[in-house]
Amino acid sequence: MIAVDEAFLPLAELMPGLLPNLPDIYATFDEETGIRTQITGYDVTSPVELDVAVRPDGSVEIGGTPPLYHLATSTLPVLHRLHVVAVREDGA
Amino acid sequence: MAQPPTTSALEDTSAPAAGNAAWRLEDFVDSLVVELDKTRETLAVKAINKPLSYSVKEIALDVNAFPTYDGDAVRFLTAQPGQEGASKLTIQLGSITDQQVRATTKLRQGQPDESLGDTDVDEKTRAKLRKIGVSSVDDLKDLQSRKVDLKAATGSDIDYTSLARKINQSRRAAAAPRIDGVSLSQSQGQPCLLVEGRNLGVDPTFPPVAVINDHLAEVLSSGPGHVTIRLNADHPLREENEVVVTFDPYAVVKVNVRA
Repeated sequence: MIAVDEAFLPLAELMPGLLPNLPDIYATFDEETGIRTQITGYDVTSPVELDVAVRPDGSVEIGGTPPLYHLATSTLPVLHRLHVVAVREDGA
Repeated sequence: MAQPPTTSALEDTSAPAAGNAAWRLEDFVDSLVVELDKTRETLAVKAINKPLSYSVKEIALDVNAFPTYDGDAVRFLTAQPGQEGASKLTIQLGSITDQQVRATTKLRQGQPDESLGDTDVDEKTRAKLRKIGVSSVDDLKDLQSRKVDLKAATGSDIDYTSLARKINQSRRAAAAPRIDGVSLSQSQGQPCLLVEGRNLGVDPTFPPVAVINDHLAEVLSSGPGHVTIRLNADHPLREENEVVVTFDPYAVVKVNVRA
């Protein structure tokens, strides 16, 4: 079995990791105005490094990770892009 | 200075898969969809404990890659550090709502599904089944009950009979027969051989078959813990005896019995 580099996560683990873990009620209740604020959605675009491994039968295994290093180097990594849009569920 | 990919790297699509190998878009998308399915399963499990307040509406992946054509198919080579001028592929996957998660994902109740990964079904067949959303034995049973033509759905020669055989084989291997002892006994006034152990006669639709010293012998009774074989007066036991018992199509045991 050809596996992706161990520094990379399967996308199935990376994508849920991008979901926010925010409280439903973001701001405290304003007694004067009666306004309560809540988040209705979010839109994340993240650069990712990808490792695409190809098995002998041609099937593909995709691994991804946020940029691994934060140092400027003479040879820069290739950054791909992962875009996730999430919305608040009605009645949530 | 940035280096473009070498010509040989682009052309050598049959090279061993180690390192950066060229992939077909179809296989890439298949893998992406499978990953999204797994994500959905993860979210469904989370939703059991805490209803989702957010759902993933859209996912897009931009991949920098070099397309190449080998005369047979277009393949892509993922851009590597230092390589410039790559094409950008954008793959967009549609929305998943909480309701869709509930509607399209089975809640795992009671015993967990038996994964096809735990069976002897080969990797290629599993991959084809996974593409059509089949990952467990229960998924397969569901398709069969709906009379789905597997050959047409997978575009291959997979059929329910051969799959069932492999699955049963794996199950039997997981609960292999084990003989703890063989002794002479009496049943209904007749001499018989009592084989005792575990996981022996477990298939009610298949009565065990016994052969003693190359002669078929009658099995008087059987169960998971025992098999009673009648000894034929025409073929008495010798000093060394070979007893072969077929418990079911997937479990055949040969023991040497010294009288």
